[in-house]
Amino acid sequence: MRKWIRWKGLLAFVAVTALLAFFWLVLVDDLVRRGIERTTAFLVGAEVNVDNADLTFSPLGFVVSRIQVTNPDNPATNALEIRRMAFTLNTPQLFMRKTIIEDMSVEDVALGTPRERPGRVYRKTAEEVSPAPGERASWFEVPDISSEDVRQALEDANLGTVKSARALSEEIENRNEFWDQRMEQLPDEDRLQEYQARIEALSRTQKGDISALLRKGTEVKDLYSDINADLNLLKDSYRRFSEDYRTVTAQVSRLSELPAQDARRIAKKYGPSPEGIGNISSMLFGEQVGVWVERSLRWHERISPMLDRRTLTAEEQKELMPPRSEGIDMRFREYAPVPDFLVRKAAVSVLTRGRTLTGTLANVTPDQDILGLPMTCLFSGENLEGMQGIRLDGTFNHVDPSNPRDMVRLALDGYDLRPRELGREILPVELQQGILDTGLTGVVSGGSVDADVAAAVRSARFLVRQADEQAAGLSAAVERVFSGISAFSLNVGVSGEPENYAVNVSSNLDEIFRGVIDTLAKDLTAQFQAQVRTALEQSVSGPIGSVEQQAGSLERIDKELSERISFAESLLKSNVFSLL
Amino acid sequence: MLYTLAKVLNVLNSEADPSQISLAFALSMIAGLTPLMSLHNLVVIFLVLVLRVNLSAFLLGLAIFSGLAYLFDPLFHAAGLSLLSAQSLEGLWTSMYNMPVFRIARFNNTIVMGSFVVSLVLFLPVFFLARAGIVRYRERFLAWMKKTKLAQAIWASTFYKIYASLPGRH
Repeated sequence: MRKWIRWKGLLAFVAVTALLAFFWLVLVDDLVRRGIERTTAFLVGAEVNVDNADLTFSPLGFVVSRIQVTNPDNPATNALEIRRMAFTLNTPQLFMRKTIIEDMSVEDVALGTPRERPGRVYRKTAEEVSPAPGERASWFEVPDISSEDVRQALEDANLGTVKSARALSEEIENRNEFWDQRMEQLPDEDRLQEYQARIEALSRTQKGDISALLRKGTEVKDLYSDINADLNLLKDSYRRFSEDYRTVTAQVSRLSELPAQDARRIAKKYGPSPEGIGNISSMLFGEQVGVWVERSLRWHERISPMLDRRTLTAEEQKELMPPRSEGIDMRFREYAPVPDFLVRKAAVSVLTRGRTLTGTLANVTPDQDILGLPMTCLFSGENLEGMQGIRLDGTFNHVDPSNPRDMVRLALDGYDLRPRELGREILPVELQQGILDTGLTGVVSGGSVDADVAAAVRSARFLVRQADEQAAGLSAAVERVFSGISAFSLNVGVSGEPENYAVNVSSNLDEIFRGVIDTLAKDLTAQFQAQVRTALEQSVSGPIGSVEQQAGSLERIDKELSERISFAESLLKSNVFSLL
Repeated sequence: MLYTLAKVLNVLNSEADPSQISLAFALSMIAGLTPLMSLHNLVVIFLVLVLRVNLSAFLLGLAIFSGLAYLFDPLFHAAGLSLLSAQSLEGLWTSMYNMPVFRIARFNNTIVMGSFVVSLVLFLPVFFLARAGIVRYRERFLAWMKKTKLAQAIWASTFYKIYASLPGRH
């Protein structure tokens, strides 16, 4: 036994172990500091600096001082700076390689503080995307109504007057032709003169015997039948002609009204119309809302890895080739499941606007499915600089990882709006001042985003920059309206997928402006319509005159037919009956 | 100075029996092939220090096997993965997973498991092969080496005389 045991080695082992423990204790602070820096930098994509980390033994925990998180979009500033962070750890769980922080205090969080030197950016976040130009509402444009525009509009418009005149002219020609032919077939004056001659011949016949009387009676009867038949024929034709004539006359009459109709149509199509007016709220606030939505979605994207752990399937684990010397930590069922990382409760104080905003975070873990509770947050503050009050509460529910639901509610009271440009080039308006009260509810769930904002602005003052001379009328109207607005409401709805969402902005400004623009547009439309009508009447006077001339030839037929009928009737009534 | 250095060398080479050298070599294989900062390596170091094994052989072996470990890393990962994902062993791994000592030992890591099992499997073969090799070396190569001028020059040096005069060298 003595041959194999080196008792001095036992002492050496104790010495080596003690040395290792000593070095661990000396180095642990630095290891933790670097661990925080590395992990946070990985999540944020930018340099993170921690001034100091101190291990405490009773209770086991750490006190970390001054954490600076570089803003990836502006490396010269910190997205976040924490003066002091202290937390206690659940010691038994540490032996199970679980980081369970029972209590944490995060003190004096400040946003956007300047850095001593610009931080490194490891992963540039996506550029903010403004709403696509195609999606922007178009502003009401005041047209320059020149003679060229009127000519162009007349050319572009498929004029009903000209078409109708051509069609009517053709129809009148056909009807003329038809009735000319028909008139030839109808009993004409010669034929009626023949009847006159027969009447005269019969009237000259001497009264004789019975047979002569009977013969005369028969001839009178025949003559009566002949005249009556022709008269009926003429009357029937006249009836049908009258229908045609009425139709043509009505069409000619309508034709004369068509220029006015065309002018109205052209004015509606090519002229200014209140229907073309865009949503003023979208124009004024749409772009800013788009930026806010993008920013919110980006923050959500950033915190998502902290809410949901991506677990590999057995197949994926087999296919995965880990970095050398690292391997994969396989997971097995736990008898009493506990998240790998959990902050049960964190008290946070945020320095902003000269005051402290206090709040709590609870159940911060990427393993909500194991914990069975969602992450929640609640922040509130009152009498801040430029703001009477703020309350933010949120629930990030990933308990069922396949159906996550993140919800945030924000209420702002008396938020002092700083001067800001609205509408950019579309509608040059500046909101110089205003006090905002708003409530926001945003939900990201099942791959879609849904948000509603109801805001009311009071003590508002707008400034409208002078537009060009051409739009002076509109500019003056807009300026007039804006100068009279001291309060307005604003509603924003966001819905759709995070990559493809729709923003709907509305406010009572829409109604106010619609009325103003409506009147302005009506005046301009009337001007345009009058000019179009004048030009149209000039251009279609030729075809209409020609049609009226053609219609005149039908009048001739009407006259002749009437004459033939009255002649036939006179033959029948006075002359034939006188023979009896 | 020379005395101190000679004393350190003496301690390192004190256990020169072929079994002591080969055992050190086999233990160094476990420490070298597996990730150094693992709980089981504390046991290995304990054994190396408490058992009368040759420390020089252990340090030399540790350097060699650490290099080899980097080469065989993918192999260890594959071995560990197949062991840890074996259905028949799932109950065992689950029980171990719920015990703090095994969690600290990181047994569920594919590299730790693969390299540890491979080194355990190779432990006895390496021990016996190393032992046989040392015996053969001493019988043939060392006898020839002693006759070389370089060796005779070293033995004639002051440093060797100090080293040889230390207790336990004969």
